[in-house]
Amino acid sequence: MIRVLLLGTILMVTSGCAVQRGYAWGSYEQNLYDHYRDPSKASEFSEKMFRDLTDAEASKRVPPGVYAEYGYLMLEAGKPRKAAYYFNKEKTLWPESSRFMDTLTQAAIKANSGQKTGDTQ
Amino acid sequence: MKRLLTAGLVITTITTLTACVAAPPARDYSAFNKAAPRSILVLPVVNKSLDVEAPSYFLSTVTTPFANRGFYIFPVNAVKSVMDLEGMADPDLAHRADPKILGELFGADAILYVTINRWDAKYALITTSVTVDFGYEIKDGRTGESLWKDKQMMVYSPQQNNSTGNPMADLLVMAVSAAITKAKPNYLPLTRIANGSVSLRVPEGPYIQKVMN
Repeated sequence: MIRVLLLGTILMVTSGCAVQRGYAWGSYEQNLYDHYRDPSKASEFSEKMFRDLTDAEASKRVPPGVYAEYGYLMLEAGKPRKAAYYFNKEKTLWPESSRFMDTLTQAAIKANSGQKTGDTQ
Repeated sequence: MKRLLTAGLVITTITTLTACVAAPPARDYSAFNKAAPRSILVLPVVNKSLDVEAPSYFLSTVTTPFANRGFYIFPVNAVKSVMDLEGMADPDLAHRADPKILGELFGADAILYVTINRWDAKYALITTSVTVDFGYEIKDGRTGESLWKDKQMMVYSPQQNNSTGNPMADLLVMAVSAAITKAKPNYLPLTRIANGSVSLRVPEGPYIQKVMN
């Protein structure tokens, strides 16, 4: 009896009812707002996004949309191969993003073929 | 001793169980539940207020609560940029577009429409308060049907209410903080609170994150 109850309690607690850590958002909201407020600092924004993304990957709690946001910033920065790499990561982690990521990947491939020397991974 | 331990565990189990039960929904969610969307596309915000910064505050804080609620939220910044390129930079235009076409374009199960109806900052001598009124609607990205509608009205004061116990000192602190707030207002907490409470009135999505924010 005790063993069953103990097991049940442990299971419930560990299964995440009470303790689940959720997504690793980092400073996503503040970074995005700063970017809207001053769009001229695009490289600063992508550096902050990359730092948060690295932390999120380390904790395996990457939130939806973050790979895609970073990939899009890479596309805008003229790094289509890097962009495509992150679009694919988004698609793998979140199948819901498939159609949008396919569209963005097409755009990245097109941008890459337009460049004489592609960026490196 | 063994009996006591058993009783204790029974109580712990019951408490753990009850803590997990969500409050029963008071509204009709049948259309939403039938559609059971997994993903939500957030459209650019229609701003009916005079505050030009309001949409930026809003868009920056909409992803986190709705993603925590369990939905795949399309990357708002990438979506905004793509819509700009597609000639839908004007939020009114995007809101008037056929939801089915937008749903098809992005592969989105559902679309979130937000209108900032009111964003009034009242700058008094010492305190500043902002009254906001946001309208939210989620439409089905496949049928265009309205699945859920809500409103969020609130009054927000950026000042901190930390009393020192000395009325004169309090007044000084408030005056200083009001001056700072006027110089560089930060309304991220406002939209964070608004979006956070609204997201909890949407049925849970498949990736629900049980965390206390």
